[in-house]
Amino acid sequence: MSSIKESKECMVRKVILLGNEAIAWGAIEAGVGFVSAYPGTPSTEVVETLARYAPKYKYHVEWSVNEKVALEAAYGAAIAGVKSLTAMKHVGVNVAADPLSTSAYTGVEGSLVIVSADDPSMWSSQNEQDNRYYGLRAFIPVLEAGSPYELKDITTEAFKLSSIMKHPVILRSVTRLSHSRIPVEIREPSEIKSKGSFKKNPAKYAVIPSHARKLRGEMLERWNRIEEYLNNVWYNKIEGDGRRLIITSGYAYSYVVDSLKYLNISDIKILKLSGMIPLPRKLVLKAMDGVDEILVVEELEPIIETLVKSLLYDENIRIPVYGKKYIPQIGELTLNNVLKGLSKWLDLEYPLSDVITVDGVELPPRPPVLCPGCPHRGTFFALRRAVIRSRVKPVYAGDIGCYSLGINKPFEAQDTIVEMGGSIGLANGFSHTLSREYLPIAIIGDSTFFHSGITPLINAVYNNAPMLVVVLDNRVTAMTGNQPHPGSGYNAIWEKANEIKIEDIARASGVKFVKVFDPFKIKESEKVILEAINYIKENNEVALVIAKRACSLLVSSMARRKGISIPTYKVDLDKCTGCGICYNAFTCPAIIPMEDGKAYIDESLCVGCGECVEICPFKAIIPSKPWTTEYESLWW
Amino acid sequence: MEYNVILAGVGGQGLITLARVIASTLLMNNVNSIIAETHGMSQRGGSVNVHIRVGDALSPLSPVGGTHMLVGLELIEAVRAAKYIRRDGIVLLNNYILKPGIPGVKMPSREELISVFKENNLRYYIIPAQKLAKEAGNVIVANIVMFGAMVALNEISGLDKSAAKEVLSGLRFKEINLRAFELGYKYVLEEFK
Ligand SMILES: Cc1ncc(C[n+]2csc(CCOP(=O)(O)OP(=O)(O)O)c2C)c(N)n1
Repeated sequence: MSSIKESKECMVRKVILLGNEAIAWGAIEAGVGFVSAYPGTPSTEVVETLARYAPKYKYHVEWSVNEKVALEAAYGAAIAGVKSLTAMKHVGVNVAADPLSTSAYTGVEGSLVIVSADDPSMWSSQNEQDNRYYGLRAFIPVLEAGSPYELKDITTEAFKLSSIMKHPVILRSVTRLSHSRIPVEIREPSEIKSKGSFKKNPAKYAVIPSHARKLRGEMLERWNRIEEYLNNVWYNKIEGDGRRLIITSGYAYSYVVDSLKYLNISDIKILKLSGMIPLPRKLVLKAMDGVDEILVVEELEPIIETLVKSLLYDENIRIPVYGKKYIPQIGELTLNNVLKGLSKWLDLEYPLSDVITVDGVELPPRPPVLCPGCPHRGTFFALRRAVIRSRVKPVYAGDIGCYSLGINKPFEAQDTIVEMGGSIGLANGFSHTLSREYLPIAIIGDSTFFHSGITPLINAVYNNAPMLVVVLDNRVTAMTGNQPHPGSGYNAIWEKANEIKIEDIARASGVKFVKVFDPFKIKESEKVILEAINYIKENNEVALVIAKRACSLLVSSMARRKGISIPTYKVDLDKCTGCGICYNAFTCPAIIPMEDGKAYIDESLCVGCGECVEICPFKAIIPSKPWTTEYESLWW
Repeated sequence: MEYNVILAGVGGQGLITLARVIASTLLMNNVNSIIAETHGMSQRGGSVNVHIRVGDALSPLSPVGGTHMLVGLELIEAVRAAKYIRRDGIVLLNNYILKPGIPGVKMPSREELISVFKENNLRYYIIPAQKLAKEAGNVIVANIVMFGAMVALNEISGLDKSAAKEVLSGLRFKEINLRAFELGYKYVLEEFK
């Protein structure tokens, strides 16, 4: 946004940045030379931002196929002496956990910063795991900003720590940090080094057992030095004074500071920990001096609480330590729940109890829905029809992506959703254990297929687990904001790249029935799916179909940017009978029922996909603004 | 000093743009603010809340029962977010109801929705932002009409007209946005002051 305030020295500008953009700028200012990531909310914009500036600052940036590969690539670059960054959502770290767990044994030559963006309250995730545990158990230090304002500086500190110790560092963020916006001062980077060198050192980097045993001792020794270092950094500090101590982990600090203002209290000591793993024990002991009682305020799990209790036992100190007794373990921190916890602990009145009453009005829910023109809608519509016609009992092994919304009415075509790739994976188990009247149907997106769908597909062919695999190929990773992937034909900065075709992979994996269809053509789609189901019934083998149509959100926004007119459709009211198929069974948000039950198409929402033309039994939907060749060319 | 705002509406209504315009205007006057928003699932036509904490606050979320101003871009969502507002808070409402995109939902009436604010004796202002936005050239700028109305209320220090217009001048559809801003601004002055 253009409210950029140029300050006197023209090198520094204050701009409003998204938290993730601030992390990206911290990396640029630290001189990052290599960036690899797989998208995942709330981490995605870190690398989207870095991709935007890659042509200017000349570091390497890529969307990797999954988090494991992303981490390995960044790790390799760091072994070659480059400052590297990888970013992922919290569950992405599970995928990358194998190389992560050994990276601390070897350390690196340059620096390796792993951004883990956790999602307390599960705004867009399947769990709310607390990735500080990864730091503890893999011997990797964890840094987290004390408030959104610290995001950029804590990022440069993560690079600094990693460079000094030659050790990986986890920079933890959470939804509320990554998706906050704050004014940030940014400056031009001093030096970007994207080329490294390789010095042979297999005793360090080839972790055969005899090497690993030695490396483990060295790692623990580094771990102690890191703890020592964290006792003396600006982001870990003691503030104020009093006989009560609050220890904060990461951005819990911001809620504690704000809460104490509401409670009008100043005779309290705060130990702010933004580098909390490993626990800087000397600093904690110093903070405890003259204190009668301790409250640990941390989001999610009682990690610091447990570490502090264990420290007190070792030191033979007997002061009460509280944490989860007052601060919730489930969901994100809010000013409300921190204030409630503090009021209770301090025996004060909760200051925000006077709330207005909202009863008497029943509010309809407003869940997210598939967008107008979403090709997934056509696929689900055709899939349901084909399944009904084939009389199989479907078990929809679903997966993660925009198409997870197929769980909702009227499609209800997701019976299981666990993790990326889990669709084909779980269907392997269903296929071998359910009788043949059931048909396991794995539903998986294109990006998810590349991420972790290929190995379970090979497994299904190898161990012969008959199933229908439906790949919804909308050409990009849509859920996280339309990043390209290996099937898109573009790289992270939207230059042409080698395109890898899903149908080629499926055939090479030994799938004999592989067909591609266009989900905008509903009848044809239904026919292809039905054919696949019949093939499975007759041959007892895997069949795979691919619904290929680009994401309508991406195409319509490209059209708007390029000034290409978007076609629309309208309802011929003489022919419309008000049967409701288009708005009740097809549920395009652009088609709205009128008072008399007849349909109306909101042209400001319609993107002209034309799917509704085929599903209307009365041929009542007709073009109002026809397709142009320019618009046609945008869909790839 | 802190001043807490919450914007409530539906994904696609331009809530994040509105929040950025507010924060940018404040920054022109050297006032800091923190915006908090959720991406991902909420974008696909779901309900969206954006929190803005103006001034000294360090933490990202406006408190339930402690928010000074609620700006509702859609009435159902405004009521859903009503719990955030303080008793002495101000409510700015776009007079607009958007039906959720799921089949067969029971809809509350406009009167029922507005009565929540009336019965709690809150200071509320109803703005025909959709209509004014159309007048400005495109319904899409209803968010900026609401911004004009916010500035006209003159409740948040640092949110003044000249800085606001400077920020809007840097946006892509500058003319339409400036017109929308003026219409919202004028509406409040003429109807409520
Ligand atoms: C391990 C892991 N990494 C990242 C994510 C975030 N994420 C959710 S869905 C998705 C991919 C969606 O892309 P695709 O499969 O192409 O489906 P689409 O959304 O385009 O329909 C991603 C990256 C996740 N949930 N888990």
